Amino acid sequence: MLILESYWIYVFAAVMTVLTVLWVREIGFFRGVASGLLRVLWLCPIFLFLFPHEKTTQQARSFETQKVSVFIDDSKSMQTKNIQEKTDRAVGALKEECLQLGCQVQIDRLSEMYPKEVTDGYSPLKNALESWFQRNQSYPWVLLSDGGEQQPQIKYLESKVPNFTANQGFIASLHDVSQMNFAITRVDAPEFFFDGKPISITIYGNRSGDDLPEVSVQLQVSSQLKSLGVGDIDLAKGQKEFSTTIILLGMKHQKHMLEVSLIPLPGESALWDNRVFHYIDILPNTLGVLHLLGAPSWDGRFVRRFLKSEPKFDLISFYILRDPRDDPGVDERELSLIPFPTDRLFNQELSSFKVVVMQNFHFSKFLRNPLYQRNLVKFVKDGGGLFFIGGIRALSQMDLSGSPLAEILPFEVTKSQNSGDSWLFSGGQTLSKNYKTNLKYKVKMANPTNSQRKFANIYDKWFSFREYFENAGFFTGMHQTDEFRFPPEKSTPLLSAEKPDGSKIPLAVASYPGKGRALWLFSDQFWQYSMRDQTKTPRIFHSKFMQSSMTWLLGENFEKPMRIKNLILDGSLARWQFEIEGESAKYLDKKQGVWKVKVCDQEYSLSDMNMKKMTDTKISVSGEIEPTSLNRKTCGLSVGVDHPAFGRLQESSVAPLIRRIGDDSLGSSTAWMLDLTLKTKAKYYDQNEKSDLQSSIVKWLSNQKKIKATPLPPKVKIEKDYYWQFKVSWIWLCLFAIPLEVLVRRWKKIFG
Amino acid sequence: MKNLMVIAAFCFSFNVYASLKLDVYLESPQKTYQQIAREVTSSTSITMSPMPNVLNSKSFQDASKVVPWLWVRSSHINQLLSEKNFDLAEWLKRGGMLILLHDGPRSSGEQVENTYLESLKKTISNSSLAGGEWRAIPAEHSLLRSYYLLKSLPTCDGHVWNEFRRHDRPLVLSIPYDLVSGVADNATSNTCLDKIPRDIMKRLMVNIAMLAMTTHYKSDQIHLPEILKRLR
Repeated sequence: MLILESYWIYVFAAVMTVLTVLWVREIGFFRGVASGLLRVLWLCPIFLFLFPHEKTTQQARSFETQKVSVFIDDSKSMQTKNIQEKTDRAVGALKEECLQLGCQVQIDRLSEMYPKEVTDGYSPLKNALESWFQRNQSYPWVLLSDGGEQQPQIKYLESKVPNFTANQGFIASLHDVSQMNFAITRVDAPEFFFDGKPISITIYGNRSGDDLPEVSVQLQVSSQLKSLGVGDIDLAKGQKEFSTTIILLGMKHQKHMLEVSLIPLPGESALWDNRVFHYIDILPNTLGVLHLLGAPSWDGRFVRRFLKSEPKFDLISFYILRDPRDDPGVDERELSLIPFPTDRLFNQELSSFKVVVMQNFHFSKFLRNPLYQRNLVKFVKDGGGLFFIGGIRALSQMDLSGSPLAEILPFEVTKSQNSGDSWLFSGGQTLSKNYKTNLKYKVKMANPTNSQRKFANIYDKWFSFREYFENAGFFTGMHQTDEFRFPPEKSTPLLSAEKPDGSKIPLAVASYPGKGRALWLFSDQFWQYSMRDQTKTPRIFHSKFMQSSMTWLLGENFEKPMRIKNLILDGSLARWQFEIEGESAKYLDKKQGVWKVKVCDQEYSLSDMNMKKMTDTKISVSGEIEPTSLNRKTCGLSVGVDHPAFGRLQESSVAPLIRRIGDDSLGSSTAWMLDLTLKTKAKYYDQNEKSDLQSSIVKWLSNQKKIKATPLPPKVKIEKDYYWQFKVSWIWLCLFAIPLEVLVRRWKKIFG
Repeated sequence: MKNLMVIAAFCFSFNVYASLKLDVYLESPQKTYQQIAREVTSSTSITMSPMPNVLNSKSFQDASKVVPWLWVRSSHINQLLSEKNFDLAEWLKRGGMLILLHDGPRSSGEQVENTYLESLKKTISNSSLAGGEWRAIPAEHSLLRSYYLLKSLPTCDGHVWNEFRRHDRPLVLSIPYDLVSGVADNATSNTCLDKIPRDIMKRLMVNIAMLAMTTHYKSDQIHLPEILKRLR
């Protein structure tokens, strides 16, 4: 606003009037008046300094002005007119909305953070966002990008994402929708499998573009340049998503880096997403488990179901479906029963198994030949596992006395057991008097001594489940174990059965005859844990219980002390990085132990590596890749350690070398943006959505609680512009009045 | 004579034990299963109780947490699905097995899908049991070889046995007639049950019990060659 102080005008007018009168007297009326007017004209620009132009702006105010951070990806791929306009409109809408809500918009650009890389045509989005997220983790934030990260194969690490709340961020995926592109989005394949078994791999992908015609695509799975399987997919017109399953045969026992690739079609905008890698470890043969059941039972069903569901177990189950005196009433040929192959199992094949599960089994009845029983004892003592699960047919008087099996029993039989077993009404079934069908109890953790716990660390594993064990209510039916004596040096008590009167008797014990391990569960009611399980994942506790039992019996550690994870070989930065997870990570220091790390066939000493402790049992290790290895396609990692705390360990992994891709070849990546959206829990907007970006972003902003401060009336700021006249083009014409005035004054002298 | 001894032993045994009970939803209290219990117990290593475990709405809430299988008549299926605090899908996922018996009248040619199965199928398809499939029981199913070798399963007016299967496990078995009433001591009579010999009904009950408790162990490799030899 131009403020004309009236008194200055009067002064100026008075001065000019006086001057004009004097000039009229000096040079005549017309020339005097003309000179006066011309003088006023060329003095105007100067005189107007005294009348500055006022510019009024409004500043949003609230009791606590919040910031809204905006990150704009202004790399080469984002420089199309269409995308730039969208970005500008989105930012404009944000600013307008902020005016109402009392917030401030702060903009950061990729080119400001990484000027050289952006100029060279790359988009180090991931690196930029890592530091940008850290700086702005407390504020609502917006990301405007096409997802064209220069190394799209390296997913944004979840560990690098701050703890954002849901919808704190807004991610707008801006890309050229007309580009035709095929991409592999996901590969479903196991991380480990077994020698000689066919592996099923399911590959998912999608295509994008304006025109989606009928087309055939081919997917291939290979390893070390050798094709392992091929799949063809016919896509119908308009079909975007596709998947196929490829069966791989004959994979050798070793670690494999599988390359899953989609043969590119002409005109595809980006080729980097036509290939993904999957790492699979082929383990030696499965583990044989022999499951013997004295009779069909509900407990047997749940145990078999678990064992059958585990791919690492080769399970053979034998049920005694018929007792010797049972009469099915038909010819043998009308029955599916086969003779119990006692001789084959207990004389020849026993060593093929790793664990024998004997459930509700009458040893003496079906292993009449003492040789079979001795073989079973030898099997356990030589390192095999025995899982004994009780029941009405188990631990009969014959089993407890005079049998070679007594050698591996974890208890001693007292004299009161000599009264014989009872009979039930048909079939001549010999049932154990020791088993009490009406015995009511609750499951409680036992109290082994420290030395007993050392022999059976399964107690510690079960202790971590104690809530599940102890909160399931009452069970009914178990062996009367207070009739046995459990020598403390022969077994470790794991669980107790607490009767309603508060007394406790042993419910489960672990023993360690010779080199082997045995678990003795004196109840056949644990299947009820599955049925009573009200957690979100059904049967989870029963599975955990069975899994831990089998793991201990197999002599395995519950968790490997050293596991290699997240191996990344960054070909552009020439850096490698991986994480060590497990108990061994506690001991990884430069003072003790011998650590050998080899990456791309290059050995690294501890001084060549950077180590960063992430948690107590997780360390990040990184180093530089030798330049000579940078032209390789894949590289191996091996980590070996010899430490007094845990002995010798060795682990290895393989990963591809990831090079950066320029924006020209990269294109956009909605998959990368979607992955980031999931990890940051942000609100996602895709260009294909019906609503426009401005309204979506405004709606998101208005839902942000953090910026819903109580807005104050906007602050009016007045700025004075003393030089406003020089921004107006006509003011320069006034200067022509100077020579004109001279001309008028000296008219007579110039023209006579 | 043997049967008398068996009954006497049963009556005078001080330690009566049954490894199997028929868990029936809303069963009539008058129904007993002494004969079939005796037959199953004397033919197999299973000891079956002659008294069913009857579940009604009062006892259902607690009992449903532990019963591993449930026999339900089609006329009660809607009531079962509306039981308070009973989630059929979750119960099946925990390990339960539902055996559905058709007990209503059926006109010849009526589509099974339009009858009692409809609400059950709808409940299952809207639940977390994704990945399962309904199918007619094929000839090579474990049900036909879990104890007795059966060439086929008796049908009723052209309606066959069906199952809902998930992760290679039968969760729901649908029988086109009320097999349980057919084997009860006061056996019900109808056009379908009358056509099925008593011995076959016994075999069906045994096979169903074996399938429920042993799953499909007969398909383990070691058993297959012998079974195939006998089937030829």
